[in-house]
Amino acid sequence: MPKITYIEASGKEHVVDAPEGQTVMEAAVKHAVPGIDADCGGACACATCHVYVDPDWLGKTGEAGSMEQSMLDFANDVEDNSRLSCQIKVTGELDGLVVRLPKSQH
Amino acid sequence: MRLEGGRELPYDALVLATGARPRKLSLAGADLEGVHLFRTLADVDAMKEAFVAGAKLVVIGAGYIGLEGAAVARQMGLDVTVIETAVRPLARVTSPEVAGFFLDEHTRQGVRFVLGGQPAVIKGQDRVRAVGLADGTEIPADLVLTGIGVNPETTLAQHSNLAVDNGVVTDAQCRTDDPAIFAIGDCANRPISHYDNRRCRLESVHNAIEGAKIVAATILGKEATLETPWFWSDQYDLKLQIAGLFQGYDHVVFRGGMADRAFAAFYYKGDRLIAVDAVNRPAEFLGVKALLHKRLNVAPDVIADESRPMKEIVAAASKT
Ligand SMILES: Cc1cc2nc3c(=O)[nH]c(=O)nc-3n(C[C@H](O)[C@H](O)[C@H](O)COP(=O)(O)OP(=O)(O)OC[C@H]3O[C@@H](n4cnc5c(N)ncnc54)[C@H](O)[C@@H]3O)c2cc1C
Ligand code: FES
Repeated sequence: MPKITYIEASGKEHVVDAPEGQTVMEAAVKHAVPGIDADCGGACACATCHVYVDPDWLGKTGEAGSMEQSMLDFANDVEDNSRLSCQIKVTGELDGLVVRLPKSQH
Repeated sequence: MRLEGGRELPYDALVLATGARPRKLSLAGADLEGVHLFRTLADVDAMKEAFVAGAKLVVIGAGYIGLEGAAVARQMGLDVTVIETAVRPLARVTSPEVAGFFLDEHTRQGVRFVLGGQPAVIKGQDRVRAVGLADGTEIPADLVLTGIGVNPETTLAQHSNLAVDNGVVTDAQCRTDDPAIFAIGDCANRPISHYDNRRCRLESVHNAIEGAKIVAATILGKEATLETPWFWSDQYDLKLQIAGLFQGYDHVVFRGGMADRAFAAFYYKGDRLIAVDAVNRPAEFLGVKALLHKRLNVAPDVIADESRPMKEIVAAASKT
């Protein structure tokens, strides 16, 4: 099963086994990783599942769609590697993915 | 707190988060096989087998739940008729303009509407066969889905002699008349601080989450940051996002056009912006959500000016 590492803003790391087909948000929420709120449960409606994708992985996670991009525009502390984690599906290719979490989702 | 079977659980704080129960049709035949409510995963599983392409689905109630059900059904190739007692869909939850847009959209997708229709009887032997209207019309049905609203689940609160009036009555901290008992989510009725402490029993994920945050903060002796209410509804490829409470608005201005299937309706009460319905317009939704949260206002002519990006409008309002 692919492993994903979530790094909190404080530097604390959480390594999670993420089943393929789940989203990067769902895998975090199922394992109670703090720092991803995901208020809308993955409907791309809330922008509270914001993560920074480790630059090495940007090629594999793909790019934000236009709806997601507009949502990200209003998130806090957005960077070029910002994504909404509910819009990234876990695949075998993402085994080892590293994402960092923002200080706050609100 | 005593459980069935007699076990007692002591508590310092008790939270009622019992949700709501979907209203059942009180019609002859409402218990027939094939007539479904729509609340839980089990409800969805129960209708799965009959929910197949070509099946005739009658949806009773054109609120968000009914229309979301209709959209999914059309996408799966069912034949869909929606019966609504009011003369337009979404009458309780949005303006005639936005309701008209959704009516047109569903019609274009092949949904038939019976507006101002009064279901009188569900017909069939073992299984539903048709829905009979008060005027004698019969609408054939293999499956009936009801989305006619919910009643707050307040049995426990009533047994405990807590005040109940369209939900368990609480203060802004979600406290009931008993200071150790809180109530949150669909079952609770509380004053909404961003709307002059108007009492509301909101039915939304955000409201449930916010209640949980308020109670957690209150129990810990802290104060929660309150947001403005918000909601979303997905139908076909349309993402409706709502911030604020539109009730009491006196005029509405738009950005974008309905023909493009991407627009936002901004609701004003006097010169005050109170809510937005944004369809495939996340920036307008998040922008207004931020404005309302910070209790900022933007004039109608400014917000309607499409030459200015929403983000810039919000930033300008935040500076003044
Ligand atoms: C089909 C559907 C689509 C929806 N779509 C959206 C949407 O897009 N956006 C949105 O914001 N909202 C949506 N909602 C509304 C949202 O789901 C509810 O507002 C939210 O779930 C309310 O949360 P709650 O915790 O108050 O209640 P619930 O989620 O109903 O949870 C209450 C729980 O308490 C349990 N319970 C009740 N009584 C007792 C008891 N005596 N003892 C023990 N347990 C008890 C119930 O079994 C239930 O599990 C939708 C609802 C439905 C049904
Ligand atoms: S969980 Fe709400 S946008 Fe990702």
